[in-house]
Amino acid sequence: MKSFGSVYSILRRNSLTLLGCFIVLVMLFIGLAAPVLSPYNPVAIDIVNKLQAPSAAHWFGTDEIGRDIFSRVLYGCRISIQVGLYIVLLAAVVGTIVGSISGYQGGLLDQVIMTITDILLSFPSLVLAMALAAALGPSLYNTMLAVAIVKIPVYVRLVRGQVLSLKEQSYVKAAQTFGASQAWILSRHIIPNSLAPVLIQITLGIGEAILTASSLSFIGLGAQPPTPEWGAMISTARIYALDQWWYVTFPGIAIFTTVVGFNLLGDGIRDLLDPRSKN
Amino acid sequence: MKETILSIENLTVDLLSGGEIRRVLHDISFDVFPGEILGLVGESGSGKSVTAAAIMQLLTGGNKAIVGGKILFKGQDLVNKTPAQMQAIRGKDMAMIFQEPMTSLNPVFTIGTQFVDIIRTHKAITEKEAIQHALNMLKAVHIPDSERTFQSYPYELSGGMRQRVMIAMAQSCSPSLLIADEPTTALDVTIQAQILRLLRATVKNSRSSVIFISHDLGVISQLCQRVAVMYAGEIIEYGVVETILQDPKHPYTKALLHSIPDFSTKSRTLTSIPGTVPDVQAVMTGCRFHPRCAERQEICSKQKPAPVTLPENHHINCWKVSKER
Repeated sequence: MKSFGSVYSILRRNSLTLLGCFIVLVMLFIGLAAPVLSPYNPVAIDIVNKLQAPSAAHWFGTDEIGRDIFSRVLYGCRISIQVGLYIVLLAAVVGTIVGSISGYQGGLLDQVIMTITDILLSFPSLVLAMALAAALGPSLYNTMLAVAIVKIPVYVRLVRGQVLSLKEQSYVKAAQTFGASQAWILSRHIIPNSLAPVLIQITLGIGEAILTASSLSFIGLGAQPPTPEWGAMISTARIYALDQWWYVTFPGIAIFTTVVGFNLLGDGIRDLLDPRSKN
Repeated sequence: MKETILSIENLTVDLLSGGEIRRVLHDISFDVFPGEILGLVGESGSGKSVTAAAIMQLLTGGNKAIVGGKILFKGQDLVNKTPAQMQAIRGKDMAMIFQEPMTSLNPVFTIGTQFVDIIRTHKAITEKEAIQHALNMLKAVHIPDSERTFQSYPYELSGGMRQRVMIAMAQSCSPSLLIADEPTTALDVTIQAQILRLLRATVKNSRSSVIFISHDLGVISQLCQRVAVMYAGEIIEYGVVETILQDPKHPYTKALLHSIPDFSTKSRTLTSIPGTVPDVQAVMTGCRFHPRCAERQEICSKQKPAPVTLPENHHINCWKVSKER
């Protein structure tokens, strides 16, 4: 087994991965400690101090009804990371189960599943997520569900491909000769051995999921006011963009940093788990 | 007539490959007796592994692939068994060892985990008892430091060690029939000898029977009591090992024996049989070996030879032999 030390040494060799790791850890910390770190209540209205420029009292300034943007960005971190993780985990779990059954069973079931997957993949993912979110009704949970559904086909295909090659491995055949049941072979032999690429896809997918969910919130389909969601904040802020630059800028930087952090970490984990992509 | 463990009667198998149905086993019959090691020998593509898969009922396409014949295991015809019934038999009453010890174990679990899984599939015992049983089985195949091997991952073990582990796993529920599909082909010669010795000892101790599949007549002669020589999906000669190796009757067996390199002679060239094994789907009249046969006669290409039985249950499918009698 690779010890923690050797994983750390591989991470250290790639400074970008380390940066990504650092960003993600900071974001996780902010997400967890948001109530402690925030100087103000993120939804407390203070009309007198509306649209204040950044100052010692309000680091990132205030919004159109006097809420502290710094506090809202910190709380937004908690929301975005949760959204990213839930979406990707839901998509990965469902996708892995469906993909492995599809690849292992083959035949008509496989054809039906793959056709549905192809249809889902043929839509631009944001448009499909928008349609689903709109159909489900605008709320943060429905948005997460919509984005997760759009991401499922990616995992289905990935896992199915893995399963097709693993099915021919001799340990799978050996397990059959030892009298293992199909469910047992699938859960103990095939799925555990197909997880490495899924893990890579999960870490690479979190950033993208956060971005998609924020986009939906931006067009009003996701988080509803007064939830301090970054995409929703930018959405209200865009009419003030010319005169009150801080209102759009800080949530924007937050989204950008988080997505970059997860993507850098994801790339690093891919290098770690997939020996073929190593130089 | 002695009681058989396994008795294959006129087994014929069709496999679907590339959209075409191909007959891969032609009417084969053989018996395995308790405590016996039967050799199954032949070139690549002669149907050895298909025979093994048919016995295990693990042919791709399931039972439908078996278009004729019976597989009587302890008197019961396996062809009529449901998948659930077969699942209970596999691993418990019959087990298999494979050619590739490097890939026959799941890389993500320890030997111990996999071992205990197999034991507990077939035996209603506690985890603790299963672990103890597994450790005993590992000791029985002469694995030094069995506790450490138990906790190892497959990649930490050598090929020979893995094959020992496979043998231990296959023997863990004391099956009455063990199918060994070229278990030593991927190992180097010294390890090969150890594994063969181990197999022989296991059979002796457990009174189980083994079908030993190999293309190596040398190994077969050391290990087996009887041998069936397969060619292009047929058994062409079948009998006691000594008789067949010392006095082969079928031209193919003769040629096969002749192509074993002999280091006592000065000859530097290797003898081979001209031509290749015919494509399984090729429709052929007469004897399937006739295009490559050195002792071919006119009738060979026209009519299938009927099996001839010589003394000592020596069966041959060859026109030349049947004409001499």
